[in-house]
Amino acid sequence: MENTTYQKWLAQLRKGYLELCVLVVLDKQDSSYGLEMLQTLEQAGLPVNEGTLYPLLNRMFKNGWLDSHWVTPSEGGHPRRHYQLSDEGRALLPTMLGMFQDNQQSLDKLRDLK
Amino acid sequence: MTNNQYITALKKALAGLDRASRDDIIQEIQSHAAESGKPLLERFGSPDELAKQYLDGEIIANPVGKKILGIGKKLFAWIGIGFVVLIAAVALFIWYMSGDDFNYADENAAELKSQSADWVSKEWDAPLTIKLDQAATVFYWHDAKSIRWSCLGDMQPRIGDDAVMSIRHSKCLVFLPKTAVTMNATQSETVIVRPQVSLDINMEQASLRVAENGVKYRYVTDASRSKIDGLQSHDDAEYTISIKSHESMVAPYQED
Repeated sequence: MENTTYQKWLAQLRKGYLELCVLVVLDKQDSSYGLEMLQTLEQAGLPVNEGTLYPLLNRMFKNGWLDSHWVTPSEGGHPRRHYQLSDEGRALLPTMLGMFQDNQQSLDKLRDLK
Repeated sequence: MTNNQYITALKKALAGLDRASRDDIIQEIQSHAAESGKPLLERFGSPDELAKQYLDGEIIANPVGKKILGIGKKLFAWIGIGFVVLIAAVALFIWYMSGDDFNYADENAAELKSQSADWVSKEWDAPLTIKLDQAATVFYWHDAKSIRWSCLGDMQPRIGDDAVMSIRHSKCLVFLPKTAVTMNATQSETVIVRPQVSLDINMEQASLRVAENGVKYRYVTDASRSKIDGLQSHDDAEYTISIKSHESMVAPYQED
């Protein structure tokens, strides 16, 4: 398999999948910031590059799926940009999860075809 | 490449974004660099590639012809870009606002008293920040402790727990309570009709028109590459309207 072709396919597949994962993470945690989300995703077996996650968060924010605000850590240091689900993002999540599960079931059926 | 050099290069590559978005991105990446302690180039890839990710799908792309501009031509280019943006903002405003013959300064207009389902109301009696992004909005003030609005467009306004009301890609009429208000307008057209509170207004590539309706106001302005015309400031006024503007225009409202 041509490696660059595979990388392109992987990037396309992961884009929507990663957005869904971010929505799920933020549904579980009231709010989170970039570095923390990177760690959460990595612990879940989904290592993500910083150059992928931050633009993706920015795009989701502009889409209206996320809200954000700046929080200065109690221990000091740079303010962190915390994200949380917007009303729109929260409403969208069940639909997206349902769609993902439907697709997974379709794939399972296709693989079971004889 | 040091992290500082990386940030400088990224700022240049993101020049096509509005200032607020660019500042948020840069601050977020600086925060990440400080906390992770890792070289930005290693973690984020090249500044140009990263900027490409951010600019993907943006309305404003990289500044046109940037690569062919010499250093001596940059100032001229910025003036030109600012002028074009102002013209575009005015054109957009006219397109939004002149599609009907409604006099937005008329606070007694029947349309504003309507009880139709188009109007949404939310109880509110606290300071409020209003974020306007590519919106055309007319603001009125009422005695009620609520925010009341009627909008055209796909996206209805949202009010978050952080007391921020976001209006994006919509055309709205909005009644506000008499509480402190900060407006942050980006690429938006706004009319304020006889404000009954002092206002802090930050504008970026936006236009603002004020319908004083006989009330005197104190205007405090901090403008860069902006046109502010026709408003008379009164030191003895009850309310102060503070305007910080960049590449924007401010003028009295006149019925089209």
